[in-house]
Amino acid sequence: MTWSDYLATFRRRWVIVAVIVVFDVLAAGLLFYRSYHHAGWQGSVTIYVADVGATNTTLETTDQLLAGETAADFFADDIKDVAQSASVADFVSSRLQPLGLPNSDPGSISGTVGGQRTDRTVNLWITNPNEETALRAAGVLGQAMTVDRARFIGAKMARRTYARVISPATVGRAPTSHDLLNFGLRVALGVLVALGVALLWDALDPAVRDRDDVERALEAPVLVAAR
Amino acid sequence: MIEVRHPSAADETARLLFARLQIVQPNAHSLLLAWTTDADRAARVSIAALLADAYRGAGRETALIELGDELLTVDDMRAALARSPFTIVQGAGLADSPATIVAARAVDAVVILVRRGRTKRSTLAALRSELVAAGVSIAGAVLLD
Repeated sequence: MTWSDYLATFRRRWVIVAVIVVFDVLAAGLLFYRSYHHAGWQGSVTIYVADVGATNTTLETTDQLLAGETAADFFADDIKDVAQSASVADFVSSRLQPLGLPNSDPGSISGTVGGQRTDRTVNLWITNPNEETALRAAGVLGQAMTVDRARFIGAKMARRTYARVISPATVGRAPTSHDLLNFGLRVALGVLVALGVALLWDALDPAVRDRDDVERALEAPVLVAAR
Repeated sequence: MIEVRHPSAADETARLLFARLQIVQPNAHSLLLAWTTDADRAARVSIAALLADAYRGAGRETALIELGDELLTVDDMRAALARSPFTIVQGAGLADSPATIVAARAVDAVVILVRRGRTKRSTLAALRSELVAAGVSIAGAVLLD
């Protein structure tokens, strides 16, 4: 097929393309709107994590370490993962309730690990539609993963780690830059799907559509194509 | 519906067909115009009748035969065609009408009327095989909406 054949197909099946693209744009727009307006606020806190026995990087159970992994790596990863658990979210919520602030759910907490091999930093974020809740929750989250970390990572692990909040909890608008990108990608994907469906629909249509169809099937010329 | 919606458009189609047939079938003494199937038949005006008028307008004595349900033999059909120096036969759906297939074997060439978006490619291909196997000469097709 040449480009003109493709264009002819799309012109012929423009209704299918239009319907799918309209629904796609509406759906992508709705998702963008919801995402943009529900992104809310993001509280963040940074925790410094080190292995107390950093000169001797063996854990009580050394087989817990992966090849090349330090104890600080292990603890930092553990703190990041545990921070995103339901028990930590419950803990944060229980601290917010007396203040009359909305609860927090595990899905709203995320984090990354940075720093050097033996000195790790864990950045934790918590999002909430309410600005004050996001800020308070970040503070409580920092407390949970430092002062109260024993209840989440266990007393033995807590003794082996040094964990301190190294930056005060801050709050800002949750990032939405990806939402616009996602909107664009969804629309582009929808357009591609629409064009694909149009081509498929056309290919599966058993009826003749143009002069070429007739001439191929009949192996004889079309004398007149009335328009 | 067929794209030839009014007499002037049908006339134009018939004139174009006449002109093309002058090139591809200049020596034909008989032509059959038929739809692929009866279900595809949708013209409000007869292209065959208008084509006959076009031939007559060009000074050629032309007879028009409209096939009925009666099943003639090829020889009977040839005898009927011999009564006029040039004859246009209007048939029914080729895939549905045995009488039209018989007529196709008797005429010099067949023009198949095809409807865009309605006539199936597989039907056309099967019809072509059948006509070729029967020794029928296919002059070409007219593509209508």
